[in-house]
Amino acid sequence: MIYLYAAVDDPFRALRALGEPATGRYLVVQTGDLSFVGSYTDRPAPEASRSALADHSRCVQQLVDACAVVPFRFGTVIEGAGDLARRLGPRHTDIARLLPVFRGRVELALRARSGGGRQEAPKAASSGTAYLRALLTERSMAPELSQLHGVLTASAVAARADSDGGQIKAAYLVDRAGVEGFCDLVGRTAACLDGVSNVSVTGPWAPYSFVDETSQLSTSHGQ
Amino acid sequence: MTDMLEYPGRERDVFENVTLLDLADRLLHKGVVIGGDIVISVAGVDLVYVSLRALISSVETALERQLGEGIAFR
Repeated sequence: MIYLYAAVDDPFRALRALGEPATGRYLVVQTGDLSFVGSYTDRPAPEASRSALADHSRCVQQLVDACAVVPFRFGTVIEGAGDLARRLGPRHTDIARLLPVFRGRVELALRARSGGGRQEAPKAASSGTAYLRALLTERSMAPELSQLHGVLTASAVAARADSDGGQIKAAYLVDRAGVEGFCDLVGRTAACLDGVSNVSVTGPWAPYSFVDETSQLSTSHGQ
Repeated sequence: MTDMLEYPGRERDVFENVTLLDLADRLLHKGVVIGGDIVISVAGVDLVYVSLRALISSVETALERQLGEGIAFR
């Protein structure tokens, strides 16, 4: 069995980045025009331990520093190239489209809170519609977080955000060369917005949050 | 190396678990999913066989809850 980490656009650079052939741990699985980096495993069910997650992340990070990467979800185990080809199905085309889009780009993650008072959704409401309306209000993004997200989105190639009103968890796809400038922008923008607190940025990550956005993304920023 | 990034005005040492939360969030909830179920073992208890979305959702939630309570997973 083979544990999969990511699809890559340059398997030779990828393996070199992982220290191959010295370690003998990693291999490339080829299906059609795509290359995937994996490692042999005898565990059909990888354990989601802290060390295993860190190990997966370290491998993908080394790959993303060397070439374009489309990362797989933790725990993807295949029998071999035939099994992979069968299970990829239409995702084969998606991955082929994403690789050039992700070249030279990384994901940054943002978490922030709004200090403003938010109304909680009522525990009981007069009707289902009223309850859902109240829930929608509660979950709509606080204006200051919406402003922050808007500014950052305008400076990113792509953005995704989840919010439950008082906090935002967002991801931004940015050019690698623009990481520092983006972080500066986060700091400057957050400092100008009353009520925004607990701001954190992590990364650069492989573009985990954008693997489902084949139709919205292009190789050129802003297209 | 993936880590907390520095930018003006950010307080240090306040979000010590954020990087780990984001790590779990990305690896367990995002990334390419191909056909067939993913089976993972959580906290050394049982093998978990669940349909993909349910598994990922519940595991992420469990891990985030653990981290939120300051309990590192193994």
